[in-house]
Amino acid sequence: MILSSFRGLVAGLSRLGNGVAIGANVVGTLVVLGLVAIVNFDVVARGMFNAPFLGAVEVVQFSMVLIVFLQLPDVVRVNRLMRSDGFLVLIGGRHPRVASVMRRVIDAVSSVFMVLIAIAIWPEFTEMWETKDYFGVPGVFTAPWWPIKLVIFLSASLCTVIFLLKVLALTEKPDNVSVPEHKDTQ
Amino acid sequence: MTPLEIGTTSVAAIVILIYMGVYIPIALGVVSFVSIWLMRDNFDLAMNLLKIALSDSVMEYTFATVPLFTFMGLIVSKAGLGSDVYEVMSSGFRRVKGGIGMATVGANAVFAAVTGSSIASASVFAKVSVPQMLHYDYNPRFAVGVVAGSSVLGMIIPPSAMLIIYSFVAEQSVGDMFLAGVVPGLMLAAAYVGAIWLMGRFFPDFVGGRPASEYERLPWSEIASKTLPTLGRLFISRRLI
Repeated sequence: MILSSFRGLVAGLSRLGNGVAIGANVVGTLVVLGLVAIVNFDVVARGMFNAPFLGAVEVVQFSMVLIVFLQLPDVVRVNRLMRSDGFLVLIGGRHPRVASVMRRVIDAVSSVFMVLIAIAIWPEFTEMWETKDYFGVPGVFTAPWWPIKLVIFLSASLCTVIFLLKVLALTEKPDNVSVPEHKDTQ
Repeated sequence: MTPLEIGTTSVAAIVILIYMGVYIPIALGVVSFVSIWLMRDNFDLAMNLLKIALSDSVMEYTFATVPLFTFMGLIVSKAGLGSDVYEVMSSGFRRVKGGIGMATVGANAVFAAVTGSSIASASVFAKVSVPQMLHYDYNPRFAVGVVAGSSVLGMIIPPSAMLIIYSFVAEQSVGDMFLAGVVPGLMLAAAYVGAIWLMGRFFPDFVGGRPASEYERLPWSEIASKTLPTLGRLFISRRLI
């Protein structure tokens, strides 16, 4: 009874976490498109009209952070975070339980690391939120720091949750963990 | 432990953790974090460095090329440029023993000049040319080895995301790095083709495969329609660089 309600809780949480991760990934991909547009606009404006887009560097830096940290949770979700899984696959062929325990330990370590990131970045965010600090050249183009810190914090927290859910969900079906979510169609 | 010992141990630990299957960014981060903690005996310092490494190193302007190159590689591979070049190449090399392997290398070299990452070329050619080679009874180890080896060309022949990161680390001009990648890349491609020819000559059993009599020669119009988009893309990017 307790076990089944626990499972229901984990399943519900996974659905919620996965949904948020997919949404963040969509936003991150749109930011990549925005980056393409900004760089092209800057190149054309600079080369043909001699009127460079003054905030290009700051906007690009800003979007880099958004791209990396908005897409990270979904990468974690579909098990595409870069790893060399040769050893795990070899072990999994002979001792599936050992491999599954190892995967769980690795995911647990990863979630601890993500918690550390979230803890490290949170005071930065509160400080930037209060001081309204910015980067860039005053009078030309400035961007506030706090959204960057906030995105890193939220992304690290979401990654923690997803890693933890992987640790918990693995006990039920240990075999589907390395299957990529979407196969390439070619 | 002295800092030197901690340093060497952490290098060993990174290698071991990565081979055990720990996610690569996590392995690097955890080992650095723990070794700084041990070295300075100061948890807060390790946290501060983690914070700096996260928020500041991502904001390097040069790194903006990496998502753009990945994006371009994805579009180019979905558009089928890789398989088009491969078809043209394999119709050209059809008479040689192991020719389909040489075609893979050649198509990889051309594809490398369009995309910037080895992962893109490896994933394209693993899907395009490995099934073809298996279809002609080549040894699976030969087929996969050719694709894995020649996808390295994607990293050397410009444009290349790796060279951009390297030029940022070594503080060299990106354009100079790209120029410096051309000749070694072509030499490497030639060396792969030569090695495949030698293997086909001296170890035909390992290469496997049967003579391809049923290849059709592609008509010139089709060759043009399959190569011109790639060449156009090449020309445009050269002009921009």
